[in-house]
Amino acid sequence: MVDMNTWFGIQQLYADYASAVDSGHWDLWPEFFTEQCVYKLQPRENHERGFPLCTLSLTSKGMLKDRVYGIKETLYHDPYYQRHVVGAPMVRRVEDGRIHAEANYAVFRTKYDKESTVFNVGRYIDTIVQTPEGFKFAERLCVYDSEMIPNSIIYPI
Amino acid sequence: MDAHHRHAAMISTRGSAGQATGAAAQVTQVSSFKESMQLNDPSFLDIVPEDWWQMDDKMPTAVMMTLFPSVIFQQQVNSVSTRHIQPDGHGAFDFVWTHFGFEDDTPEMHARRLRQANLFGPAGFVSADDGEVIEFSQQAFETKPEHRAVAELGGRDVGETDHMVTETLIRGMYEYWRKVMEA
Repeated sequence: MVDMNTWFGIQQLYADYASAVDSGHWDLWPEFFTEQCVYKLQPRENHERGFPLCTLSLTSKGMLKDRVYGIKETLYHDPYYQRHVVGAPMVRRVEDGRIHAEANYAVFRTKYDKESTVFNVGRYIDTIVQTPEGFKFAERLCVYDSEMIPNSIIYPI
Repeated sequence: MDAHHRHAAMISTRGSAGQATGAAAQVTQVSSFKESMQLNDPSFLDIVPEDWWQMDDKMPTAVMMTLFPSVIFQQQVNSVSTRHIQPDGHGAFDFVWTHFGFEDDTPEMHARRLRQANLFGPAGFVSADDGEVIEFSQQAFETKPEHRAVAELGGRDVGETDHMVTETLIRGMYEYWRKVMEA
């Protein structure tokens, strides 16, 4: 479906994304996306029943940058480490140069004085495009299995 | 507030940054208030006033109606939702958000309500830290079980106010709670 270079590029994109969102350097996050991107965080039930409500639904890179500002400056929260473990991406199809891929993910959260706990588990449903700066997400939909959120989600999944 | 101080409505009208006067001006003193902040994407705040907001000669942009003991009906600009507190044993509760719209919403208003939902819920720009702060508070209360906690913002009494820099509604709610529980 895709050649080896493309496959390698997709793998690298997933690994780099996970590394970036676990690093605490939030400004890295919007750079994985195109200007007219979509980033959604949605519970599985809403996704499967076709309900449009999302926990977060950001529809431009500007919105992602605004979210970063919120994380750094306005969202008062108990800081935590997060650790993404992302499965091997599966390429579902390629249409008009747009790569449709998915991967399972698990995010663990560690508060500085507590044990690590399972924070958010689900599946990325992505649309990836090639740009002069390499592969970017045109869409990243994070569909998480449990609606029971441990209080709040501050950082990017 | 109702006569028993059980139920209440917090009513506010969105202002311009830094132009608040009187007690409301204190809001601009909190550290999370950024006077010079500009959104990269202003569509988060694509607010369209709706006729049903009209209240006499006022047009409030946010009305939070708190119903004793555990539910809030909220209109915050074009986002309408409920927050329901469901106790889950000692020291824990589930916080259930339900967003809704109106049957006769235009597609544009439907999309607008969904977009403004980014401000609310467990990851919302406005409300994600509510839950965080409640958790901080609970942790602090529990450090000294032999003590009692008092929410003193805006004094120790209960009464109507023309601003929201006060915990008077929490005091009113617990005043009634205590009356019922000790009866």
